[in-house]
Amino acid sequence: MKPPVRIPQRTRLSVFGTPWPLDPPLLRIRLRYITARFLQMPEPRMSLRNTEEILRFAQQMMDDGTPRAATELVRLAIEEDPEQRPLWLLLLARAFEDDNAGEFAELAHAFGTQFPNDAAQSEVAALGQWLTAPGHPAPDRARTAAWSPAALLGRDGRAQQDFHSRLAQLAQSPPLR
Amino acid sequence: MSTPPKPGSFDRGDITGRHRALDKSIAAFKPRDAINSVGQALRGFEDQTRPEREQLLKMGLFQKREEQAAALWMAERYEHLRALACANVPRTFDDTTTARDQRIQACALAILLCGHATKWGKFAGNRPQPAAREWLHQIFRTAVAFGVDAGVISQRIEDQQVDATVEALYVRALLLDRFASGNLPPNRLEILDNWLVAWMGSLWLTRVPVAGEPTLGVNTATPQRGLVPHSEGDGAHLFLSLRPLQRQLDRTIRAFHHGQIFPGWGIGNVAPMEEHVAVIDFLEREFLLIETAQQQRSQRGKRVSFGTNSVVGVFFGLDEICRMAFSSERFNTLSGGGSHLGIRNAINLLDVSEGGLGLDMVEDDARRVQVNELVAIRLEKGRPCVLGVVVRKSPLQRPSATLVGIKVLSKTPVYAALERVDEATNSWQPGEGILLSGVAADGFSDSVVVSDKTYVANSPLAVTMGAQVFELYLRRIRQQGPGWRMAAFDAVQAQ
Repeated sequence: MKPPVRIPQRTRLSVFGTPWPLDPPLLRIRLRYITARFLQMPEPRMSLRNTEEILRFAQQMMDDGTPRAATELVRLAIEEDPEQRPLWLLLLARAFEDDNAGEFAELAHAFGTQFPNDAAQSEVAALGQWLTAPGHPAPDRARTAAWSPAALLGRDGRAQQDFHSRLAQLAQSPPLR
Repeated sequence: MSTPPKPGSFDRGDITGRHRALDKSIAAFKPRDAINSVGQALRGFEDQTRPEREQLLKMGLFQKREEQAAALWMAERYEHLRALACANVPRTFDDTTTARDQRIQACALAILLCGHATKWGKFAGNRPQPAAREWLHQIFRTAVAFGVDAGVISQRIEDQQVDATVEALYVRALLLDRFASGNLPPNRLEILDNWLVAWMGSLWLTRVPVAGEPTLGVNTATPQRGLVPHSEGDGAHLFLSLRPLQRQLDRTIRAFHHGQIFPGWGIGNVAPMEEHVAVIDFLEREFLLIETAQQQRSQRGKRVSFGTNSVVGVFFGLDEICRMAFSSERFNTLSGGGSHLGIRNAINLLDVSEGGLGLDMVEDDARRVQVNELVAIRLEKGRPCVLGVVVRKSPLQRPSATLVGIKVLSKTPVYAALERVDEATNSWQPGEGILLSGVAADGFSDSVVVSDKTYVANSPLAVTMGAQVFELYLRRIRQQGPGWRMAAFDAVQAQ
């Protein structure tokens, strides 16, 4: 008796080299997952291509103390549309700040393939060299500050901080109605 | 000829009777026969009860008394089988003719059942049993002493044959013990257990903590404690590094990216996607807590303790909270609200912890309160209310009493009169909300709670703080429930 024929699942590789499902049932699960994981994304494939919206979500998730979820979202968005340059820079900045030389090198390579003549290439190379240097000091966040979502979105941190201090003061003895 | 029983149809009395009969006769069995008998009893029990267990877990929260009774019975059966399996382990080691594989099998079965009993004890709302944890530690200590802790054995878990070591099963039981003490509802704990079984290859302990990595520690001689974040001098002598678990969680997330529901089997496999995602969120929060435990330990302030079993004032729903919980008339009383829901009886505080509290309510009243309902609780006269959300309801052992579990959102909520843009008339209209101060000093973890009608993503709300008017642009929803949404916002000073 012949062994049963197994039809391999149809996939292609994402820009990170990870499998990307093409079979409708698998793709449906992927999209259902993205919708459930990242609320406010009823149309994930559209939202993932909206760079500004992704930057905003990612920043809010970092504010909420869930940077891993933020990184996951940004990676998914890049997989959907690799042309979103600010998202690449955000990922590179996170890998640099985490002192993760391995991940930084992988990202830098993929970024170089995607944007071979980009103006940020020299800075990316310099940061990569700095991370691989033995005994280097802790990463200086100022070096990647311009790649943070807050900077890319032009967020007004002073007003937020002012509001927060007033609220914290009120919370000490909340006013009654 | 008698007709065979339908799958899933079973007589609880019959199963209980068979377990009791085994209990009486097991002492006369040879140790290896005793292991096989308990193993067979477990398989038979799981095969017969699987549809009912699936049904119970699909509900997520056991709200009816029949469901609660079914969960209690399941928990009692697992506990009974656990006790049988545990009692057999010392005999296996005392008997010098027992082979090594049989000793591994005895330890593995007992520890597997310790995990099952912990999980179902949680589902049924039972308090953790210190004796069960003591047995768990003791069996593992015995396995280590006889050098059988690392022996690989094929163990049936649900309908899967899984290769595992005694040590991996021990870590799974410890992790279930740790996670079962939180706010994780039964269906999510079941999903998590499926994942832990699939992660068995990473569930191993080290004799020294891995330098520079967040680690959980366990002292197998201390039955009061399970796995806890390790700190220098806490007496732990076995360690579980967090990194392998984080890598396994990443692997699980990747499976979802590839369109697969991880691990592809188990009762949790048919749960809605939101439940799987909630487990990911839960683990990420837990891992973060473990990572920052050391830092928090040094920064922890004085904890305020409240008298339990005392009456507290409770307000239900955003409207009532805005109207009454911040009112000066109610500030010095413990009279609550809920009359619009039909709540008639006083509500008692059952217990309180750092992030949550339990309310003891009359069953008839509790039925009127929904999970995800926003509540404000005045714990003491003359003190501001605590704002929280209902996360769980389960009947208490006492008749007609229900435990209502609350997750605290803020201990210092601030009422705010707001103005919102009415799109129909393009004008500012009065509204109300509650401001919650977050932990981050930059203010980006602050939130505002508004009605679901008021919430429009990216639209502004105007609020006056002192002499300054701010516009809050509503962003990501952090939490939501019936009629309310808690959202992040970006504040800008109004011109």
